[in-house]
Parts: sequence; C-alpha cells; structure tokens
Amino acid sequence: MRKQTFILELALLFLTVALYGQAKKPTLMVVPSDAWCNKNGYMIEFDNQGILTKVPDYTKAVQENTDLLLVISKLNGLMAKREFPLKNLESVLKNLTKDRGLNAVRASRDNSASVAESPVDQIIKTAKADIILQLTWTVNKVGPESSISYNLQGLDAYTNKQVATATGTGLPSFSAELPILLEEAVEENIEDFTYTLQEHFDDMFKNGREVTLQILTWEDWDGDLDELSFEIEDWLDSNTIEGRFSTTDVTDTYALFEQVRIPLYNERGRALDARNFFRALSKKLSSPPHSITNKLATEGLGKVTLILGSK
Amino acid sequence: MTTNFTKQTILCCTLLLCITTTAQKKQRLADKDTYEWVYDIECYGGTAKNGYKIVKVWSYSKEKSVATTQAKKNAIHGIIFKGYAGEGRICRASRPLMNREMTEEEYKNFFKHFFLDNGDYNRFVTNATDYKGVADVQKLVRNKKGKKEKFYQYKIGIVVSVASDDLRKYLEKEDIINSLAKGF
Repeated sequence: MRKQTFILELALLFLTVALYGQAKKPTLMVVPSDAWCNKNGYMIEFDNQGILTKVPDYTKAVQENTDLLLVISKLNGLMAKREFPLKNLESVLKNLTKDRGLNAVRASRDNSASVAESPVDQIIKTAKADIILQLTWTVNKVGPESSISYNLQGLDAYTNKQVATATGTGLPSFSAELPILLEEAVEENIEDFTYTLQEHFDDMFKNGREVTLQILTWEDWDGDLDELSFEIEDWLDSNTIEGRFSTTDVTDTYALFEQVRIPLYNERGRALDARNFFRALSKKLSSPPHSITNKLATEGLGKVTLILGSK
Repeated sequence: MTTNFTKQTILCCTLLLCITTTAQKKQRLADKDTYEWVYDIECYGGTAKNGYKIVKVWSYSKEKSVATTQAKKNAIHGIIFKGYAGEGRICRASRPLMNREMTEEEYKNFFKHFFLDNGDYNRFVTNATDYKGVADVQKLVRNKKGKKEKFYQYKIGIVVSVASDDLRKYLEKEDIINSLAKGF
C-alpha cells in the first residue's frame, strides 16, 4: 500500500513538472528607434503641460515606410525560424485601434452601461512587449558608394537594460539598392543578436528573472514607508534567489527595488512572473501585524507596483 | 605449382591487409586530430547565401587524400566548436554553435557517432573546390640541427560550404546545443 502511494506521488510530481515545467516566455517586438523616427519625420509633437514634447508615430511609420516593413518582416521571419516568433508592430497597432473602437461602442444589454476604462488603462494600452528590439539604420554615402550602418538593441522593458545587441556597417556598394543592403544587414547580424539574447536567457535560467518592484503610497496613508522598507528588504532577502536585489530609492512615500532576481518556478513547479511572486508580499503586508491594505499593479512579466493605503 | 599459387595468394592478401590497415591508421590519426582540434579554420569571403557559410579549412596529414576528406569533418567541427575570426567588413566573424558546457563524456559520444565516415555530418557539408584544383597544398618540413630538412606532413587548405542553419537545427533537435526557445 505504502509502495503504491509512493508511486502515485511520484507520478503526480512528474505530471506537475510536465504541466508547469516551462518558464513564462517573454514577448519580443521590433520597434524603430526614436532617433530613426525623428530622422525620417515620424514624430508627433504635443504640448505636455507647457513643454513641447516629441513622441514617435509608429502608425505613420509602418503605413508609409516600406523599408521599415521589409526589415521588420525579415527579422520576424528569421526569429520565427529560431522558434521565437515576434509580435508584429503593425498588427499590434491595428489591433489596439480596433479594440479601442469596439470598446467605445460596447454597451451592456441590461442597463446600456459602457465598458469601464480608467485613465491608467488608456495609458497602458499601447504597443508593448517584454523585450523591445529597437532598430536603427542609417545610409552612408561616400561619392557614388552606399553602405548601411545597422543597430539592433534588445531592451528589457522592466529593467531598462540592454540584453542583446547586433551592430555593424556593411560593405559599400555602387549598385545595390537600399532594400538589398538592408536585407543583407539583417541576415549578417541576426547570428550575433540571437547569441547575445541566448546569453541573457541562459543567465535568466541560472540566476532567475530580473524584475523591478516599485512601492507607492496613497496620499491618505499615514504609515512610514522608510521604516517598513527594512521589513520589505528582509522579505526580499529571504525570497529572492540568493537574496539578490538592490534598494535604489527609499523615502517616506516611495521605494524602488531593482535587479530583484525571482525564481522562474514556485515550489509546486508552476511558472512564476513578477505578479505571482509579489502577491505573497502583498498578502504579508495586508495581514496582521501590518494590516496595510494595498493594491498590486502589474506591468508585463517583470514589473510590479504596490500602492499602500487602500485598493 | 599449387604451393606457388598458395604462396602468391597469401602474399597478395597480406599486402592488401597492410595497405588497408595503413589507410585506416592514417584516417584514425586524422580523426584524432579533429577530435583534438588540430586544424585551422578561416573565413572565406562573404559570398555564401543565407543559411550557409563558406570556410577554408587547413588540415594536416602525411597523405594528401586524407587531409582532403578530413577537411569536411574539420569544417563541421570548426563551425560547431571553434567559430572563426572575420576580416573587417569583407567577411564577418562567426561564433561557434555550441552554446553550453559539454562534458568530456558527451563530447566523446557525440564525436564517435556524428563524425563516423558515413556519419550525419556529411549532410551539412560539401566541397566548394577540388583539392586537385585550387586547394592550397603546403609541404611542412622538420629541421633538426645540422641535419637535412625532412618532409613531415602536408598542410592542405580546402574551401568547403557548410549548411550552418540546417546544422544548427539538427543539433538543437538532437539536444546537443540549446535552442533560443528552450525552457520556455
């Protein structure tokens, strides 16, 4: 009987690993860099509380620049060959517009209520990915010869670190057209890019996912975050991989913890992201002796904001 | 008469056996060189089409033909384990496909099967040139003090084309190297 129970337990363990054995896969998307958008006239200017601010206009860029579409398509194809398909910027933008339109006309059947959308919802509903592949190229001309300088940077959206890169300048050519030079640049550089990206993933599997924890407070909260931060640090020390994290900022009302290394799986073998991981901290703070009501807000796989004081 | 015929047959057989054994020994030595990374690999222009690499491999042997056949094995070994330096913008450097630590035992097993004379490595490599044509042949000599220079072995440079994308996919499938999506 005992032997049968042991075998059953072993089978359950294997089943759990088989079901949850995969880490959460980050999403990747190619986006033209601000410098490229600025140089090619794809920027929108707006008055941000008296300051003239420029932001890239991706929709205009993908609608008008066929070279950009070619490079994105080529990169998407090469990454798909490596079993890592990318999110397509153009499709994401179209989908966002469609969703916005649909949500605006949706109404409840019972009382005609419209879909709830907070200002925060409106801000976060933008084209995003866990790793942004920021793309820049410039055409160099020396007399009749042209060459391409190409720069592809993989940027982690939550830690703001460059996790992969490929740069280079191709051979000058008298006759080759720009799309051909661009295709060659992508093909020549993809190997370097995937190699450095692989190194980043290897580091993640070895040392855990690197995430960011931000703690904010509602105006009406009368606690002392400066004091509480020591207890939060103790919790992080016990729960992160090898106690790895950095306390970047702490004030009475704000704290920022960066380079927090969280495990990829919990003790049951289930894949973890920042949201699942910091849920335990949120629960700890909301239960006695702290009893601090708090709100846990998530940004993708790697950033969490805890707002103390109320939901 | 019969005794003479038997003697001749035995002589022939012995001679044939000697030739075969010598050839096998030379091939084994060449394989040992590959196993111990005794070869050189360099970039050969940037003209390979997408998914392929054209490399020049320098192999060492006392026998020209052995060095020629060994070039293919060396090229594949080089693409997997060594990579090569580029030449500025003319020819880009290539990193080795191997992206994890391999134990000695794993390396030995992989080498034993993959690099058999009719092994799977053959699927990913073709000679870009014939050694009788444009291959570089250098005679290496040993020069002992006060003695005449003595032929040591050939250093033969052969240009081969490697289907590097297909090779990478094969190695990923066989779990020899890690794929980008492994673990997700």
